[in-house]
Amino acid sequence: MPAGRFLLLPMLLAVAAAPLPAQRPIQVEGIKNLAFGLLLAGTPMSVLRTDAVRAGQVNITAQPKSSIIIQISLPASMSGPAGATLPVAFGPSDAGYSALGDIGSQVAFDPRNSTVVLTNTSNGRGTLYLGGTASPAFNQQPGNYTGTITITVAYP
Amino acid sequence: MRTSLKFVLALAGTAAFAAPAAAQITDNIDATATVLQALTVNGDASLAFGNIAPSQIKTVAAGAAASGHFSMAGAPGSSVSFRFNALPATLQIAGLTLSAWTGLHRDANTAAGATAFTPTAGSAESVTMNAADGNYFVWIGATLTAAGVVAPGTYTQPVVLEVFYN
Repeated sequence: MPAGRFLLLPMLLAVAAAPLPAQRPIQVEGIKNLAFGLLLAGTPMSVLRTDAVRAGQVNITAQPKSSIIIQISLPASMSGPAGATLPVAFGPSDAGYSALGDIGSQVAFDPRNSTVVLTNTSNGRGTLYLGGTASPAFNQQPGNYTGTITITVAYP
Repeated sequence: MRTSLKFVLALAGTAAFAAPAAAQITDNIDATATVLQALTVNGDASLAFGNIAPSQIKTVAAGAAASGHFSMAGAPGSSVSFRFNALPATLQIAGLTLSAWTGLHRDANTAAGATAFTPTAGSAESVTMNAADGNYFVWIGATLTAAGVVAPGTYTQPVVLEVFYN
């Protein structure tokens, strides 16, 4: 029936024409390692997320004034010479986020859990800062140690 | 008309999936650390004044055969400091006074060519451990003055050297 056909077409066109939200592609860039520096066997070393020299730093760019989810995969230890491992731990305030890219104005969060933050209102940027604690054993093998920290960012 | 309806449905379906999906993006940073070799220090040789008579003054120079000698070991090429937290004023008894401390230090176990310093209680010397083997050496000397009356006997007094990473 002609009336039925003409009614159906506009409805389909209305659905097809509705614009989906445009979102800037997310960019995640590791800027600085979490650098515990020189350690003595048997002496733990903590790096604060506010340490401008040693704290890890990751820059994020996404849609301005948008919510993003940050998830961090943390190592339980760093690997060193001859298979030696050096324990590393992260506490409830060892991560921080600043939409201004200012290490002095970050909001703390637990890096062991995902967190939702807002990107900068004007440019869509944000910066993640990370601290932690390394605990070499009394008989820790001397040498260089490294561990990988993975940061994943997505829109909710 | 069924043909037209099917065509419109296909277009609608295509348009609905044309927008880009929100992606999750990942990057890595590292956690890094360097564990230093443990520092050790050994007193290898005593500062030996040998025999001294009452009223005698005897000097043993740093680097001499009878001078005191310390060996240190740590991470090759690392920066460390050493110091004497205290230097004894007497050799166990009041009648035997110690003064005019002298010192030498270098990263090889040979006094010739070593750097001279004046051991001072609480004052640290900053040095670099041998780049190859992580060793460092210190020699000390002093002047012993015996009083006019000193009971015969053997006298000893510890001298403690502290070393730490900078």
